[in-house]
Amino acid sequence: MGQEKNTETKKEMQFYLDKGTVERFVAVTTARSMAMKERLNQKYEKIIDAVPGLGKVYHKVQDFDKRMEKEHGQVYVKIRNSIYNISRTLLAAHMFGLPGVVGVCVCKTCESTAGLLEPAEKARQEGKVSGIFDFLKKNREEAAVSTTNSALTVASTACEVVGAVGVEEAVRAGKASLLMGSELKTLGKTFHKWIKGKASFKDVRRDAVVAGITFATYFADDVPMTRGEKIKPEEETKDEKKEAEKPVSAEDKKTKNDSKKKSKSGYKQQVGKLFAQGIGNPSGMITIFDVKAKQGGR
Amino acid sequence: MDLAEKTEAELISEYAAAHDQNDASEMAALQNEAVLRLNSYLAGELPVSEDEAPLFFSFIKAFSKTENVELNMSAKKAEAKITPLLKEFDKEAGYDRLAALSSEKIEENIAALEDFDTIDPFEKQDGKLIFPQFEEILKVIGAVVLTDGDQPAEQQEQESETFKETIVETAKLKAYMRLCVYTGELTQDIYLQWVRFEMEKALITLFMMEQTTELALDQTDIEGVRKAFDCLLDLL
Repeated sequence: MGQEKNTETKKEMQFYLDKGTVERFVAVTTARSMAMKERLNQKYEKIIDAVPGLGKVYHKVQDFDKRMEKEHGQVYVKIRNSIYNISRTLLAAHMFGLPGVVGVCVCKTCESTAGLLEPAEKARQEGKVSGIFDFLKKNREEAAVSTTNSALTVASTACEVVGAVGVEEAVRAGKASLLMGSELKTLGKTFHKWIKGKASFKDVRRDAVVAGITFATYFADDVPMTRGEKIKPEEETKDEKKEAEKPVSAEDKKTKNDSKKKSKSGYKQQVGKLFAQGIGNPSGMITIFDVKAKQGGR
Repeated sequence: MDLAEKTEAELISEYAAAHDQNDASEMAALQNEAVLRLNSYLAGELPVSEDEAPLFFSFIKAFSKTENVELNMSAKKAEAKITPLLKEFDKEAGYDRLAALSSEKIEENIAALEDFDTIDPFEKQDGKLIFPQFEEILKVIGAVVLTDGDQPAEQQEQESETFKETIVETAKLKAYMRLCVYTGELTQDIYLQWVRFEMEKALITLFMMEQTTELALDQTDIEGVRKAFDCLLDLL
């Protein structure tokens, strides 16, 4: 996508866009809108009769869905119906195929406010720019680096989902919708340094692996960490469980949490394999699972 | 199809149908599947992301009041677990301040949105856009060539028109879902700002999706992605 075409008198920019990409984008939009409609129903279920306008919201989403089905056909329907399975099973991912997995992951990343377009949205809300295009024009270099970083990371991780041979630094499969801004930013900074010749590509790959590992903890244990290998999870022993239930001091808690992280199912083995491959651990890997578990009080 | 392969939405629908038909064996089978799925979720083996939380919560609620004690317990625990994700969803969707919104205000917003929905952002008068803020978007849309696999799509003009309509409709739907719970005064200006934002976001998202797919399929490299990005910005 994106090339110049010289005509007799002027250059014309053209962007090639596959119809499948459009269908996937629309399917994600519909799925998101259905989720929003569902949430509104849940929040207002006790007073739904007092807010008849909410019925129009329901019809709005349904009508949109029907129009998209008419315009884009059964491929759209299939994608829309499968969209929640994509992150659950490799079977669904294989059904989707690599472009489907990549497309949906990127779409969800862009949709998330913690994702790629966050700085643009923030600047717009602060009145610094009139829109996303305005932001991109004013922050061209940085936006270009962010774009290429995101493309690299998502492409790498999505390749592993379908076991496809992708870019060399491909890492463990994951759900891009769970991409944390911090992982991308770290990767972005390293990538930027590499472009300027101030970091080695090994550093880029290391940070890509860190980002990849955060996805890994969300997967069922039979999803291989490295291509073609199966790793069984490490189960907590009864003693470890009993130990976890005892009241502890803050200091002991920290020590216990550190050791608990290290013995998390499958994770230790997976990290060990990476170390064996010569990929270093910069500062102790903290995964999204840990961060989100902490946030959710789990 | 095996129950394990069905989505939560399908299971909810089938359970409602089985309940209406008083089909005890079907209900039992669905309840068993619900137990498995909820326990899997509680054990951390079934990942549910923030954008999936509302639909999964509907699944939990659909199976939370049955005669199956184990199921009811699992549903209760699952509800506690999913609550933080629902809060995240609400924050992302702008649904975290609904307590401050009266039902009259929602009705007022929806009435305004029904009216604004009839606006065509690309409408022209005397050959010029009535809403000039959509000029760049129209330029980018005009530069898109739709393909079907490796070949340009047939009936390119019709495809382009459908593409333009899709961009407008998805943006309008997203603006609608967001603004129906707007707390301030909902004006046409605010509506068009959101529609513009969603349209620009859609085009960048599509660009990213396409580039990333090509990268994953080894049809481009990082330099190619950067060049394509520069081309896009040169157009603006």
